[in-house]
Amino acid sequence: MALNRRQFVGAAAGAAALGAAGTASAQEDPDYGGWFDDVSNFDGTVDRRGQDTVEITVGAQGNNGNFAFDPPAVMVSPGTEVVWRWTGEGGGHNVVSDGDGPLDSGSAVAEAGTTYSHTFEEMGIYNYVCVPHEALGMKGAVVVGGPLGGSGGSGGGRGAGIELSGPQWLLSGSVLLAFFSPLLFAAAMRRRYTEQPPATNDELTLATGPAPVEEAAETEPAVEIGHDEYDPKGTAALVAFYFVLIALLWVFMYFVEFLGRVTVIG
Amino acid sequence: MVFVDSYPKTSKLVRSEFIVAFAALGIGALFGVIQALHRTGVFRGFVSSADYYTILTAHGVLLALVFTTFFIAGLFTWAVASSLERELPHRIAWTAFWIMLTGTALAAVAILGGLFGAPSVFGHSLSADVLFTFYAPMKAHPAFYIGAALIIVGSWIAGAAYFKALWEWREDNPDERIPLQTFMVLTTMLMWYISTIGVAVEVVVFLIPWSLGLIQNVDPLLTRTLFWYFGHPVVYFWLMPAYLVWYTILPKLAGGRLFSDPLARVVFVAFLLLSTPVGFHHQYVDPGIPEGYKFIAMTNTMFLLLPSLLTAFTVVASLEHGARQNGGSGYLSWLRSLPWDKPAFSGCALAGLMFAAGGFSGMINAGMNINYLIHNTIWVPGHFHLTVGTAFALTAMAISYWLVPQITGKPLRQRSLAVIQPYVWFVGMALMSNAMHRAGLAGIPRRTAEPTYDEFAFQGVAGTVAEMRLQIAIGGFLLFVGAALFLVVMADTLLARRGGTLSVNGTIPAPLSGPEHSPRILDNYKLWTAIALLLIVIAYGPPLASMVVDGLFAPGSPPIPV
Amino acid sequence: MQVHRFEKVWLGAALLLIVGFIATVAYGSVGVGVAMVDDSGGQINAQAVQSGNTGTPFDDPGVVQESEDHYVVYVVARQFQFVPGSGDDPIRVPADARVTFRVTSADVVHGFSVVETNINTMVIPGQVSEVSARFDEPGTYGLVCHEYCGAAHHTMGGSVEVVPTDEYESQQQQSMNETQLQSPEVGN
Repeated sequence: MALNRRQFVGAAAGAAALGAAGTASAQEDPDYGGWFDDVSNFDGTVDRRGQDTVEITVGAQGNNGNFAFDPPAVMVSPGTEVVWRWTGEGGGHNVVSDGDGPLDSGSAVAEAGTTYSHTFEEMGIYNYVCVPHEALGMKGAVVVGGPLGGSGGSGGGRGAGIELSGPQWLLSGSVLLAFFSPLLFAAAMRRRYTEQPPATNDELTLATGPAPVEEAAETEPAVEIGHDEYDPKGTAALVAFYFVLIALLWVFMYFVEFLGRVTVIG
Repeated sequence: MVFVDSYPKTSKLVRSEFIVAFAALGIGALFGVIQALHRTGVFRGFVSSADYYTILTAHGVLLALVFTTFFIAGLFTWAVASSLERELPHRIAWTAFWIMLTGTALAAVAILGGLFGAPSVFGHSLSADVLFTFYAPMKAHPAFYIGAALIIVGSWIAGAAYFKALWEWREDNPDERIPLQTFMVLTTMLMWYISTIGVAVEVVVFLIPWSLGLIQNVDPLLTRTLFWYFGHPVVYFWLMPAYLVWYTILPKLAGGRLFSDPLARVVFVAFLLLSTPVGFHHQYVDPGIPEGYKFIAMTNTMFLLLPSLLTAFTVVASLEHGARQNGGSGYLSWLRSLPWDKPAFSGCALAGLMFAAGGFSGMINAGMNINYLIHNTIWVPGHFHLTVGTAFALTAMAISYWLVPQITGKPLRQRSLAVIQPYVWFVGMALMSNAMHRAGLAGIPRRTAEPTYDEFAFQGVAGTVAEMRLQIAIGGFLLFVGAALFLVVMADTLLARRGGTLSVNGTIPAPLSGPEHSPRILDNYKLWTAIALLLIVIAYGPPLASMVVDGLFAPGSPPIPV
Repeated sequence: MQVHRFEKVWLGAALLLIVGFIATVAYGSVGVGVAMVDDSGGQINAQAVQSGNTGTPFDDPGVVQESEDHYVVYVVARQFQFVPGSGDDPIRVPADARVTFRVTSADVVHGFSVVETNINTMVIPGQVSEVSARFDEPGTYGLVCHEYCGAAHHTMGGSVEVVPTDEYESQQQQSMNETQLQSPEVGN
């Protein structure tokens, strides 16, 4: 299963999340090879072996919206009919095998109550996705038969309660640090400052009341230029230059860049 | 006498407003560098790509709504007190502050909830990954909308304090012209009152009830249109305070005098008239809106260029005056006689220079059909980081170097950091923004955590995509450094001991051409407000009518939580 | 009111620039024939688009040939794909023909932008965006959703394949033959 760049980045972020969450893997959890790393409602493989029909909800709550299959990972016996049932939430969904595989419910539909079913005969792990929401983590797997693959889970379910993943700690920590850093820095500077007496005051020290403060003296201009003798020649030169520049840029942008492309004619 | 000693109570208010603004700037800047590194693929370890949108929402709201509004409130409070020479009405001003702060806290909690798993609070998921524009039918937690509404209402009350101060002053000075700074504050606030009607209706009438489940559907096109009714004039709410600084303080910093007070008044009246009836230029490629309304918005927008072009002349002429009074000469070499080593001056001047570039990309955005070329590409953030991100933000930082000593009585500390900070910001922005513009021409979209797609690859139009990404990352990082430098200077100054001699002086010399040369009719607020409202009825009346004629909530969409 | 003569000249220059911009855009509109997205696509029920029950071609989105030289592509934008357009279902249209994209949303606001062209429109639930263009050059163009639409917005892209006319017609013929072979009972 080849991961494209997006899935890889999503999986990497998700892996960091799961890493912080601790593992509570099911005893016989198959090795999905990271398939469920970015699936927020993955909580181990649900065992539904021994049933003739197994139902999976499409458009369940998860992945920042109603973008999940529930349960995302389910184990069934060979010969079981799996029925996917749409909740009507989360927009249009479909059920399509990842890579080669038997599942294809067609184009995405949204209507509540829509169903799609497939009877699984052969043992194996059948990964599938909802195509428009794959990048959000709307993925699932049907495992037929006993557990396959290596021992030990690839990653357990998430613990209960609000947990902050590695990246989120990093983020909240940096926000706080950034917010307070000028104050910390200034406090450090101020300690240095208060150890030296202020050099500017050459007069009194008031026993009470706020420290006196003065404005700087007004600076007199070297040359005084009144209203009638002033002609802003430099300004005229600058705005003339600006005028020419804008006019040329406009003509270039309009006639070369814009009209040089396929345009809307109706 | 220093401002803090003349007006101690008003100084306290200004300090509080600035501190909230600077805190928002710090968090917003941190999120900005996280975005720059994530989007370009340089480092994606801070957040997942899904959480990127939480960061992006926070960046937009904290910088473009909280930092701006609180800083402007502080600046305007200072400007009114200073030019009318009286303390501001206390109770009203502080009420405004606390309402705005409460709104900020609510909205911030709603947004940041998205980073912590969006727990359910009062029956709704605590998340607001809706970005600064919060388009329906994407839905945030109700606290987000309520918080935003409170920030707006608080700003209305802050405006009431300025008007009350004016009326009190009028009683003591019945025949005088309104001092220029107060004139600018009041014109801006009038424009703000008119423009926030749109977003207030959108949020209070539609989005809050809809997010609470009290109404089932809203019409996404209508709510979007109401947002952009506000969304364009809000940029003038940011720009006009920057102009206030450039017109009234910058000439003095340059050692000169304002070239023309009357023209400054004309410019501000022009903004009052034209800022709002142009909102459709953000919806040039929206379906459901006939082309004729879009064309009217375009002509209004193009004429809105005029006050900014006039400002360029007046402000540069004032700087030239200062340079020549300092002994400068020649056609261009007078530029060297300007105090580039003074951070308040250099920051404002560099901000103005960058605004000239941002103005050009804005002209392209305003062209109704050429807008197709760049709509929703990363060219657009390239443009607005030059305008609100530099013309406003760098001016705000620069003028803080001049104002904060006067409102605290503490000389500026870490001066050497302050001197280089505007240059760091300028270089960072030049790198980031030019790459964003070029990447936009290649079709790379904005508001995206990972601008790469399986189905195709982008081709650089001028330069390669990889090199553009690198410039955005480096530029974004430098901007973060620039913001950090500013905050270090401010924190150290705010925590220092009061007393001594400041290096700044608050006296503003009279303009070369004063208010006595401008027609009194310019001060007639009622007239200009009436005309502004008329222009809005013409530009927005028919299109809004056609959107609601088939029902206020039709064609409607139910909420989709994000 | 005194206005310095330099500033008066600049005022004139600024007005000239402004009028120049308006004139250029008007030329593009009237002269070159660039049309803006408007309300000609009409309105639609977004929830019906979502469930596929609009009673319009949006229920089975794809390319429809309206006449010899005019093809209409019905596209549904949804979280997080274009149908058709995304993945291995690109939009295929012939070169040198008038192609009209009719795009609507099944859920939230999306964008629809054909990279390196000026085909760029918002997709708003309840409204149908209608944009027509003519592709002179065959090739593959990228397709991007450029309006934030949710957590996987950055995955929402696609492609538009512009195929030379004769090749397109023969491919159409071929797929029609295949369909007839597979389901000979399906009559029209």
